[in-house]
Amino acid sequence: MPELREPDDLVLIGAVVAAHGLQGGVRVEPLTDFPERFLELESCFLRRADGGIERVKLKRCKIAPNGVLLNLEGLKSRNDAELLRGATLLVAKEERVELPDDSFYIGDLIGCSAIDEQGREIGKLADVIRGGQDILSIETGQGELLVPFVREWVGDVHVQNRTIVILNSATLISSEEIPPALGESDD
Amino acid sequence: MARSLKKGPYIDPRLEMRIQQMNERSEKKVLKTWSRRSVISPDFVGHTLAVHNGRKFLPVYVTENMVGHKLGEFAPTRTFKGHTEKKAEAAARKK
Repeated sequence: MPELREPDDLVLIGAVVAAHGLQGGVRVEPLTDFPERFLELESCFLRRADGGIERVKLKRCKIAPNGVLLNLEGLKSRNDAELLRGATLLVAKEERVELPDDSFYIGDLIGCSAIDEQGREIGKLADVIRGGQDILSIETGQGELLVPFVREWVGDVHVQNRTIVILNSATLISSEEIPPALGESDD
Repeated sequence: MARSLKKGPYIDPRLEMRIQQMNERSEKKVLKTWSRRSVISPDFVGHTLAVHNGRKFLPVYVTENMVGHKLGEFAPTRTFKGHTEKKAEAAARKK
């Protein structure tokens, strides 16, 4: 009997993109920031294209330039592997890679309340814009507020309490606020 | 082709002037700019610049390791509409 989990408890780590070889291997596109985690993974959840979720054991794993090559238990031929195209690999939240200090999973941050230093709510975190520097996108009553995810602007992050303290929030400007004349500064 | 060293790095004169004024007053406030082509000079370190990406202003807190790069490098203009990071094992780091 396969072990079933609620999808909310599960975190996406990869997607099966193709069959690999003749022995039932699959090529997986890693959707995790830590592709090397596959090397230590013994089992994970497999969500098939039809939505069914089951736990599968990993027999062999190799990190290749075009993805991660996996041999899953129960897959014996290329035909078996072809059927998994479009399936996703997931792990339980408690099985996620442990993060260093001051790093947070984006899924945990989304929906947290952004509060100022006095504890007044500014808005809810809607998204994290990733780039050279991560930027928090906060949905406020007046529109979107963008805050660089750096110590100078963001204080304590309490994932358990679902709060993020924004420092000097009064000096921040709305991302869509256009100065009076195009090309002119706001001073 | 690389820019001639004789000319020095390009920095929007108006932006440079505003940063210098803020440095003289020891003031820190978010400055909006469209000048994505401006090179980040050491004077910018510690300031937050709202760099336009064609649609909105993305705040960029300038750190030492950004010096020599251009402002536009830190305000992406395209959004990747692939797998959602909300459900994936993706982490943000407070720098």
